[in-house]
Amino acid sequence: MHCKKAEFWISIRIDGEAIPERDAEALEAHLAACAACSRILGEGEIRARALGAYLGGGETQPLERAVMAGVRSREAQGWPDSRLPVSLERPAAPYRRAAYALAALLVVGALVFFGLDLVSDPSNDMAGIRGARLIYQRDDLRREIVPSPDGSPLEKQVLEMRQIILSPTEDEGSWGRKPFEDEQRHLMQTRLQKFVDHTYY
Amino acid sequence: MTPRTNHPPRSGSSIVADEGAVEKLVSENMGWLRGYVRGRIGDPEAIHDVLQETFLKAIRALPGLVDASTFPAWLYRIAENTIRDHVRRKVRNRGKLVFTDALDELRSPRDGEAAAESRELAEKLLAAIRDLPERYREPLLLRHSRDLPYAEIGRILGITEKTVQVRIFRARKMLQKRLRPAGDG
Repeated sequence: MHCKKAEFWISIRIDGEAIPERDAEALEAHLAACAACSRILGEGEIRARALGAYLGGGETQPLERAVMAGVRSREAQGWPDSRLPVSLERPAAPYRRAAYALAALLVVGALVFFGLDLVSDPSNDMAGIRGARLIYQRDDLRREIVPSPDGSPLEKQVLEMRQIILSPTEDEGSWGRKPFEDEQRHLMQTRLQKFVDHTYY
Repeated sequence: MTPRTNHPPRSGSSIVADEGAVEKLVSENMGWLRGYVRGRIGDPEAIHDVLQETFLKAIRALPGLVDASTFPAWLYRIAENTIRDHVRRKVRNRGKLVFTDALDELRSPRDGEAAAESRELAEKLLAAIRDLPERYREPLLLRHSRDLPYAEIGRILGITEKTVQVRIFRARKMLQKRLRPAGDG
């Protein structure tokens, strides 16, 4: 047994926990031959005794009586402490701050999601299109669609692009262009139209 | 000494209606919990307050405890939260946290020289233990609070017995390094 392993078993021996027989024998043999590990064991035992006496010393009955008196007093008053049960207590400040930040994000997200157009100018129905980035996203694939300089006809451009999508090829790790199937095209056109209607008109 | 009862699982609500059972819970768990709280905070008055507050919170919420055999683990979490609240209050009120370790009940005039040395060593060790990372500090303090067995410490902390072994071993290694006199090794 080498010293590093011996030190692990020494810690367990100090605590009086069971050591497998073979390891116990090997530890004894090591201790008989290694002065450094014997010293670690001796110091460890002294420290454990000192800590045990300090932390575990003294009678507990006075404290137990005080606690029970407190319990009886609270019971007599119907537990007037209005604090919530432990599991429902007010969380610590860092958790509260995180919760506030999350709530603020949710509010902003909800406003944007439910139709607050933060980009477009209501007097010019193309302004929003010119200023916006159109992102097509499907599963983990994300592409940006760049509108033509005059911003029109956007739907046509986007719909045409929809007819080609990037798809994984046989060769994993690379991507190839693959036309839409009819059914896919119809589905995508419907979704895109809804998206365009909802966002810009 | 173990806080774990050998009774079949009982709900907290059935215990709270039985004063004898509540008293038994307090008595079974006071020893190790007092040792743990002593290890975490040095001020003897605060130790008393934290223990009182912890038990009162636990007993008040006892009806919500489904299996009373998990009481030690539950009590430990309440104690840890109460200690943290206490430390926060202390820091806020005084601006600086001071551990006095002035345990009057352990400082009787009959103390011999050996006992005084042992106490001095314990205080030095505790100062170093309080600086250990929480995951190493907790099992070590629980171990020396009434010699809780590894299995019980594991149940209280929600970790395996093997993890308790390893964390206590690492905690002791860290202490060895921190307590080593300058220039030694």
